[in-house]
Amino acid sequence: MSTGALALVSLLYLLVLFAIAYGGDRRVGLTGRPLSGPWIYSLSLAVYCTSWTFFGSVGLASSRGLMFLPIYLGPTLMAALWPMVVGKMIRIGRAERITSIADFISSRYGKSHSVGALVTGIAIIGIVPYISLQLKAVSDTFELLTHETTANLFDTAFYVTVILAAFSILFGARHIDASEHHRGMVSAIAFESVVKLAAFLLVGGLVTYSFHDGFGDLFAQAAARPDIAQLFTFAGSGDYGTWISLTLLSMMAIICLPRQFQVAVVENVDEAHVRRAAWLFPLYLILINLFVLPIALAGRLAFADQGVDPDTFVLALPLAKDSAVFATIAFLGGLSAATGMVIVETIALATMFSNYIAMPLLVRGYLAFAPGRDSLSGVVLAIRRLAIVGFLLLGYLYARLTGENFTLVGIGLMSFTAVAQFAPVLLGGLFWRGGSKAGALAGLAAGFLLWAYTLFLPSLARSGVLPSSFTEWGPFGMALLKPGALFGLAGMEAVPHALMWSMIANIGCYVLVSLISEQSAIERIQASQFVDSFNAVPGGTSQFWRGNATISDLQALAARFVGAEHAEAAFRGFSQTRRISPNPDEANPELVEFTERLLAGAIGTATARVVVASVAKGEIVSLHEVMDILDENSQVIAYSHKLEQKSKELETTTAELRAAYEKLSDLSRLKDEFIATVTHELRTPLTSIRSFSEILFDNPQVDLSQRQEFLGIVIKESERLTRLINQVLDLAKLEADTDTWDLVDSDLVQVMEDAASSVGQLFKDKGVALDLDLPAQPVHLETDRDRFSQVVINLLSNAVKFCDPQTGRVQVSLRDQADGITVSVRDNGPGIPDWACEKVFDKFQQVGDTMTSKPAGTGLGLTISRNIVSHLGGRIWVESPPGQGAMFAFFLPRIPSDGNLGAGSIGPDH
Amino acid sequence: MARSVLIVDDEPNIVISLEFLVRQAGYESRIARDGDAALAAVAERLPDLILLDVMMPKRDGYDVCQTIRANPAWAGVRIIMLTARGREIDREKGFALGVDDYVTKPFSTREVVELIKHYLEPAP
Amino acid sequence: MPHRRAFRLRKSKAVRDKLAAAFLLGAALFTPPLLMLFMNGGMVAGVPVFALYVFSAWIGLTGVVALIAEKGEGD
Repeated sequence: MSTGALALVSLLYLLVLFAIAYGGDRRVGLTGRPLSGPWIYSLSLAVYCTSWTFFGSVGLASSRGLMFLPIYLGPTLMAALWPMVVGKMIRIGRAERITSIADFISSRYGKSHSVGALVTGIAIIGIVPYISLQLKAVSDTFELLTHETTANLFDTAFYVTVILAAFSILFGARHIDASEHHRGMVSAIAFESVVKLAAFLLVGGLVTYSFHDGFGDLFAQAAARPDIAQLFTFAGSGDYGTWISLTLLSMMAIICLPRQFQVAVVENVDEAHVRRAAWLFPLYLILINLFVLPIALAGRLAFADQGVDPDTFVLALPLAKDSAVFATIAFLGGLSAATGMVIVETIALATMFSNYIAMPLLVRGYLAFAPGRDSLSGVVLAIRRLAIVGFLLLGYLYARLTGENFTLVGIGLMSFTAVAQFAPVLLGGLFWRGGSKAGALAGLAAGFLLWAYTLFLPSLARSGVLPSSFTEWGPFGMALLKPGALFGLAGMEAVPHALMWSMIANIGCYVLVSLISEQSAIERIQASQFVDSFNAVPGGTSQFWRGNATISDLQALAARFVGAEHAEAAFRGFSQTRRISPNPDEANPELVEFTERLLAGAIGTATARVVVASVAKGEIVSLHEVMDILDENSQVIAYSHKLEQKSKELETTTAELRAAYEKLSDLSRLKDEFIATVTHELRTPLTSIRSFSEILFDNPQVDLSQRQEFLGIVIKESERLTRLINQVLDLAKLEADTDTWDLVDSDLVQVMEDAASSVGQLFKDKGVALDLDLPAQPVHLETDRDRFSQVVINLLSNAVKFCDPQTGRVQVSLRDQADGITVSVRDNGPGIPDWACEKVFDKFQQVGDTMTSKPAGTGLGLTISRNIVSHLGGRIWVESPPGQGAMFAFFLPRIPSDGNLGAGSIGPDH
Repeated sequence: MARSVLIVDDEPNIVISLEFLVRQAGYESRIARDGDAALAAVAERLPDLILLDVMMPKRDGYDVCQTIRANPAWAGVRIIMLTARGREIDREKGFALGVDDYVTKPFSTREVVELIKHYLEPAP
Repeated sequence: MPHRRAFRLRKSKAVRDKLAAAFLLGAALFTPPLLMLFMNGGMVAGVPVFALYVFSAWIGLTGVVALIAEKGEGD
């Protein structure tokens, strides 16, 4: 293909691109609805895929197999964290009118000039090789396609450089406010992403399905060649280290590359787009990497040892088959990949350069000499345009100097490692309040120096720009300081080695210096604005200004930097949306803040702050006060929140305590009553015993029959006393649960017969009939024999007490059921009134007609019975239909539940 | 005519022993098993002295005492309270209601007899 | 309406948390212990096992992220 034809095609492509960009900008003006959806956003993020991806990945894959992939897996992983990290950056970026990554980092560390300048310096030095990579790729492929090599001073690469510079200026440096969205540029970048993906898929499809018979055929042919088949796996364990390093490196790069920051944060129009990009962007990466390995394998198979540069396989393969159309497509794909990167990257760098290197110098001069009233906005634009040209020329120079010594990926990785130095201060600044300006400076500087020493300088040495002795023997022959094996750490590949040392130095210095250095007031304000941005209140730092300035002062100031027309429009817009202070002359803090942001878009946040401060005389001294108040406020809020929580806790605790106290005092009252009752019950028999003993003692003349009667009473009352004491102790033991329960398999029929016979005399004495209704077969149950027997005897003697002599009748029955047994004792006595049925089981609750006679007994029998039954897991109750006597019954389950046995709790009705 | 003593208690054995003591001391004894019976007995014929148990079913000793003291016609009757509760507060309550004296169970028989004699035969 | 806002914030935080979990899953998928498992040099369906694994895991992870991100979209 002729040079002229290809040049024409290329220019046409670039013009189409410009038309899209121009249209994109216009549509903002006409309908207010630009192309700015989540798809455009995701596609614009694909500016990540440059010539490196388009040509370089194939080159790397042809020698290292899948080692090209970590560069895309890292961003895929990071994309999942975008809503958290990039979402936060977007929010902050919008609030602080951030125009670049340098601006962002500088703003975080107290709007510091030095931090911004350092970031800018690192970015420029780190990115220039990356730009040169694009120039090299475009010029190499151009020459490959036209079979033309120009070795004079103005070679192909130079023309490429000039054309790209012109387009970058057209795209990105037409307006003054860098924080405004370059919607046209974003549309063009998104279009380029489509072009390069389509081109790569077309070439990949052609190579895989036309030149070969699909994936299977290609892999089978490759597998047949041992030297190619080794690409399917890793060569050694060192490869794993490299794999991990490259993954980490690309994770940091996707956040820290100035152009990625530009499209992801500065150009973002809606935070919600980030969430969709979190999977659309990885999808794009998958698609564009699908054919990398097949093309690399096809290239190895087709050009075995023919000296074809693997970085050009994408183009060389269609060319070798004389497919000019596909070769042109491949070239255009590569061109779009390169131009996209160059345009966005140089615009981003130029903004940083003008804000942090050129403007501070200029502003210092401007403030010192205060020249005429001419606007500075033209100067700002000129600086940016010159910077774009300058960076491209530097890239060109680097390409010329290093020549053919490096692969595309090698150069790209060096740039990645340079920008990765931003990651600690960037991410640390987002999530760690303690990171200070001094720490950021120390970390950045240390990381950058180690990067330069271990990666950048050796690259220059290999190209012959620097003497190569220091890379081979170490500086001054000190082998320990050899750049490729620092401190004797040999055996690592250059990039992982450099990444490790620079990160150790960077993070170490950042954290250590941050910890030992003190933050200034503005650093603390900015740190909390950044770290708390997800729950920050809008309003920025305006409340911290307590300056005095007139509106006309501020407007005049703004006019000098952004142009009179723009400034007037902005101030008019501001006064329409907000009520300006009552005194028309005096600017309120909001307006001061507004002016600062307006200027920040043009000259960066740090410079804007200095410039506005010079007019508004906002006192930073007062910031200390405000910070103290703020600190105090947040402490008070936290404290009162805690108090509120505590008082709530206290309330519930109090309620619990009150309930417990009431329960306790209830129990204590019951205990008192119990003791009083026991005392009474003990004193009564004791009284009789003492009385009769004294009577007998004092009256020896009492006749024999009376003596016998009295002694009989003494004996009976003594027995009663003994019984009472025993039962009280019994009950105490039951309630304290100190007794051991002897659970054995027992024949209840036998137990009941024994119990009946032991009370037989009682029945005979009173003339009460006792009917036993027991099963013929033994009834077995695991139970405590003695306790069971005690309950039965209690119920029987209870029943006999209430029966009339002679006519009384008591029926006892035992029912064997599936789930347990029921024993019932029925009498034909007076029965129990309804109100008493609940109470009969309570202590000393005897129900009887005391008019005639008081029932014998202690009043504890039923209480003890209930405790025993509960303890065995059963229940006891009484039924007393009017006129039919009383029926006491208890039920015991076949398997006593563990909860009721020996656990101290006594059944459900307790 | 012999002085009469009304014994009020719901414990039969205690009643038996008190009855023996009262009779041996030479007084007439009558018996009531609870508070209502006691008031009925008083209404029937006023005794000179009442040995009154406190803890009884239906109507307790305090109640009986209060009723008796509320009736001016019964003003001359002496009341000795018998109680199994030896607490100070019970004693106070008894005196406040117009009890003449107080005996705690289990009591000494001699003390009870002396008390009865003391109230029925004032020192000449 | 403050409580609506709080609800939305909570919801977007839940999405962010789930995405962070997806990140950890991805990190596990693409690091040595699992990678080594597929580094045997064999072929499955005419494709090297290692390549097949990496691309499958990649697609799977992207699918998971898509599910999480798009599910939280509808508020």
